[in-house]
This record gives sequence, structure tokens and C-alpha cells, in this order.
Amino acid sequence: MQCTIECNPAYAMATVDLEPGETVTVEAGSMVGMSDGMQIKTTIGGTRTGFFGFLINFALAFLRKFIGGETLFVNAYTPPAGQRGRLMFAPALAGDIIHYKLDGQRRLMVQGSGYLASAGNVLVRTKFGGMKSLFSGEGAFWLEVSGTGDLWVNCYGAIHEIEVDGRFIVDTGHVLAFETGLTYAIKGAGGLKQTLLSGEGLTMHFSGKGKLFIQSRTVGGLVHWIAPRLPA
Amino acid sequence: MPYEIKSSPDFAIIDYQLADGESVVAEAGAMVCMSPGVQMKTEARGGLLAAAKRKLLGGESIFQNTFTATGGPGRVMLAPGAPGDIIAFPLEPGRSLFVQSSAYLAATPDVTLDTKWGGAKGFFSGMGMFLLKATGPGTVFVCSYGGIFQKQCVGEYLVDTDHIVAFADSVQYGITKVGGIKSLFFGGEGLVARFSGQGMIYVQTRGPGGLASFLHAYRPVKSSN
Amino acid sequence: MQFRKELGPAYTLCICHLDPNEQVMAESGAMVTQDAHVQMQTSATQGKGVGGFLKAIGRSMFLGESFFRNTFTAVNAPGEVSFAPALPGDIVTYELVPGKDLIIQQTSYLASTTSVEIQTKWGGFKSMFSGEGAFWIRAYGQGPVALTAFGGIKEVDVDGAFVIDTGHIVAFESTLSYQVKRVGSWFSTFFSAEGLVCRFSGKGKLFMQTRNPLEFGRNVGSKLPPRSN
Repeated sequence: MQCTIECNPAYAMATVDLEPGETVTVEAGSMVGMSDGMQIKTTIGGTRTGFFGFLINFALAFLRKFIGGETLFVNAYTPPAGQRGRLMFAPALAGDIIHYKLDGQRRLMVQGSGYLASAGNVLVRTKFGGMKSLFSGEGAFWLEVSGTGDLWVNCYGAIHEIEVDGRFIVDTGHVLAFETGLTYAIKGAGGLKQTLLSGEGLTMHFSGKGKLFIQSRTVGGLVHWIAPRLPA
Repeated sequence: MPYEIKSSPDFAIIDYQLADGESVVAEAGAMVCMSPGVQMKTEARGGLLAAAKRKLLGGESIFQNTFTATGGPGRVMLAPGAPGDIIAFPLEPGRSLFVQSSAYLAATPDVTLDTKWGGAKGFFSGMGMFLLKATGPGTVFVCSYGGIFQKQCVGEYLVDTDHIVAFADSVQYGITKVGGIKSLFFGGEGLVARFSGQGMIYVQTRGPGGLASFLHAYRPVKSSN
Repeated sequence: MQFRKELGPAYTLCICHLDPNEQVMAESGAMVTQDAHVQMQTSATQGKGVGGFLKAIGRSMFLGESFFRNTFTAVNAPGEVSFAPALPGDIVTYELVPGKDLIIQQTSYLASTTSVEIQTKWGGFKSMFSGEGAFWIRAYGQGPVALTAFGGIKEVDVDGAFVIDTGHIVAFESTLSYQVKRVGSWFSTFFSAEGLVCRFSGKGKLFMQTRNPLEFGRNVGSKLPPRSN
């Protein structure tokens, strides 16, 4: 499998060239273009197997959709038998795509809206962000990613890496991903008055040692900025 | 320099290193992340009356947040809601920059902010925007939707009002219609600003009005019940 | 007349330099800046005179599309006028030659020289994409036409076959054949959210955009305050 990312950092699109028999799984709705004859299988994202596994996957996907706004489905693309194939995919929002190679050792927590695609033996487990997150709409669910293979993550805006050693506070919507060596607590922006008036919403207080990836824009910020300009 | 503007011009962000006791003031909602020693104080900037003027006209938040490093140096990163660039304008004492209200992101505490608007035939009439006058000393941070195009005004120049970011206080401006009546209703250009004199004009390469028109069709419809 | 691009590729601005008394045509609402002596006139694309104008209004109101174009003339002196679309992204200029037309997704048309003709009434193609809300125009003649994209622009030289999600098409040369189809099985289409795809075949250039306005609209639109109509 070969991958190139073009039009980054603002409107990145990934092009994956697949060998015969290789498969790449992408978030539904993200396909841009592909070579002729590609085989597509639609499934609900999730790692549990069996009938009850299917029900649990479905329930989690359902919750993800209505709380996090993520699509339920993922599409697995494979080239026609014995042939090579090409798939181009991109997220819905502006921003960059980051290609991670998972080696079985790294474990990453990715914000729900950040999952774009994966290939190989990648394990994706849904984790909910707690009651406070459910109400804010941001950081409502997270994906714990591990295993071996490839992972593509999309960020809204530009990505910035921060080495945390001690404590660091981040606006929830701006957190894209973090290594599992970090722990966090979700808090308001200060007192009640602060939380309501400051416009800051919820923040994540990280502690520990590890890498933190932030994105320089949020959908909440975009909505807040454009709303006064909308007609009635 | 205590600040650095990163990921410019696509999705610019300000990375501000504050010395112990130093502050920066930002619009509500602009904070991306900060180190634990930084204290955030929310208040109506310029007093309640000035803030009320802004609120009435713009539908913008009345409040601003002042970030101060306490107990040592601190770090705060600030970003606007719109995709685009950020420019820092260091201002000489007494010199001003006129900034379109939603283009104002942050400033050092010594900058004086005043609201200026022209009423019915005003600059951005009916568009939920108005002009802010930022006067030095200090540095003001301006953000854009899109890239920022700098034009040295010599003679007369017309700019679609949706695309104005900021302009120097040495420039004169007025509102004018482009084309005839037919143009006003069907031409889609509406009102434009006519600049004259000498000075720098800052134009953004995308207009929020255009994006709002596009997104309007995708909004959920209010159910009548 | 020359098109120049600046501040690309994320928020590209198209700057048009006009010789004295030269003209350029642009999508309504696209003007960003202009020298004061450049004059703007609105013209409907269908027919001339009052009859044509009324027919044009009728169509516009019925279809909810803005198809008026503005003509900019640099009166007696060289002048500059700049254009930009509503959505963020890049701009590409294409040089039209007689015999090879360009089919453009309507919202991707930005500006063109007056020796380029634009045909907006084109039922055949429209019906193929019905329901997607995309309207298509055909550009023919000679000279440059400026196209905009939502996102980055990628030029694909099709030689054989290529499948593309319809929301990502900016424009394509008329030498290409096209076929609209659904992706995968019925189940896939219904659940996969891929919608319609277009299978291009033959030989020709295809311009694609790396973001889909429909996906963006749905994603952000659902989070906006509701509207009253």
C-alpha cells in the first residue's frame, strides 16, 4: 500500500494505491474518487464480533451518530480480484490529514470527529467522554486506537503538537488526539459566571507526560462566528 | 517578541508567551489552550455602556477575557472561529486602526478600543457588523476569513463591504452603490466601500456573507408548533 | 486581459488586469475589490431586451439560482478588479479553444473573457444529476475562464476510466463520456452516504475539488440555529 497526501495543510486529500487483496476502510461519505471496478462493503464501525457484538457495535454507532454527529457507517474498499486499485478520500471539513503507522505499541485517543480511515489490524474502541461532554456536544466521544496498521486522522484547521510534562489546559473542541500516557479531567472555564460568559465552554485539564495534538479550529467556533450573519 | 503567529495563512493561531504578570485580552471563545499558571478573568471591556453598544449592533458577546500569567511565565494560544489568517498590528501612541468588528481577535491591555458606527447609512448597515477603532500604544491582533490582501490606497478604490478587515486612520471612506438599481437587486454586489487618500487597506479574500448564504439552505427548519 | 492568482492555495483571490476599455464577465457577487474607474453592468444570460430580462427573472425565481453575471469595463484607462467565490479554496484558469468545450459545475464558474460563451440551459446533463442540486453550464469559444473549487484543485488526465463522487466535480472537457451511477449495492448507497458517483471514460481533463460542498453544508448546517422558512 502506498499513500500520498496532497493539498495539505488546508484541504488535504489522501490517495492510497492498493495491491491486490488489500483493503482500506474509510468513513462513509469521504470517498472522492477511485479507479474503476473497486469493490465496496458497507459496515458499521466497531471491533466486536458475533451477533451480540453486532448489536453492541450498532448501539455504539447509533449513540455516536446522535451525540457526536459522526456517521454510523464505514466503507471497506478492495480492488477487483487480482488487480491493483486506487482510492482518494478526504474529510468534510477543511484541514489536514495525518497518516499514523501503528506498531502495536502506540495507543492513541482520538476525538470522535477525527477518525477518517484505517487499514490492517487496527482496533478502534469507542469511549464516551462523560456526562459533562454529552451536554457540551464537544468531546462527547473518543476513539481509543491501537494495534498494527495504518490510521488516517483528519483535523479541522492546522495541527499543533504539544509536549505535556506536568499540567496543561485545552479547550475541548481543540483537542484532536493524545497519547494514553496523559490523563485528563473535564472542567468548566472557571466559576459558573466564567463558564457562561467567557464563551470558552468546557476545558480538558491534562496531567502526566506525553504528546498532545491540538487543531487550530473547531466547528463550534465556526458556528458561533457565522451565526450572527445568518438571515432569520 | 512574546508572540508567534503559527499555521499562517491557512488556520492561523497566536502562540503567546506571557511573562510573569503580563496580560493579553481576547474575544470570548478565543482560547485554545493555556498553561496552568495563566488566570482568566471575564469582564465587559470598556465598561458596560460601551459593551452594550457593541452587543446591540453586532450580536457579539459583550465579554472579553483577560489572560494573565501568575506565579511565573505562562503560555496561551488564541484562535478565531473563522478559517483564515491573523496579523499583528503594533500601533504608535495616538495612531489608530479601524477594524471590522468580527475581525478583532485580541490586543495588549494598553490598546484603547472604541466603537464607531454611522447609523442607518452606516458602514455595514444591516449586516450585523460595525467598525472598531483601536488606538495605540499597544498591539492589536486582527483575524480574517480567508487570506489577507494588502492594498496601498493611492486615489480611489472600491471594496465589497463583506471583505473589509481593517484600514489605516489616514484613509477616507464612504459607502456607495455599484452599478444601477438593477445591479443592486440582481447583481449581487450590493453596497461597496469607497476608499480614498493614502494609507493601507486590508482585504480578506473571502466574505462571511457569502458563506452565510451558502449555509442558510442547510439549516434545520423551525417547526411550527 | 489577464487573470492572476494570489494568496493561494487555501483562499485564492483572482485578480483581473484589464487594458483600457477591455471587459471581463464574472459571477454575480464575486467582486472583492476594483479600481474606482472600472464600471459594472449586470446582464442576464438569456436573450436581450425586456423580454429576455423577464424570462431570466422567471427562471431565476423558479430555480432559486443566481445566474446573473456582471460585466466589468476599465473605462479609458487600464484597471484591476478582483474576484472570489463564497467558499474557501483554490482557483484554476483554463484556456478554452474552439471545438473543445468545458462543462462546469455552476457554482465553480467565477469569471471569463467576453469571447467565451456560456450556455446555461442544458437539460440533458441536469436531469442526470437531479436531486443533487447541482446545475451545469457549458463554456465554449476562445479565451481564459477562471474556475473555483471548494478546497484544493486536482487535475486528472483521464485515459480509460475514472470514478468520482459527483460533489467533487469542478469541470471536465467535453471529450469525456460520463455515466452517473450508484456506488456498490442498494444497501451500500442507502447507508454508505456516498450518494451518486460519475464514471468518466475516454480521454480528457477532469478538474476535481478536494472538499464536497454538500458534505460540508450538511455537517455544519445541522449545527446552526434553525431558520423560519
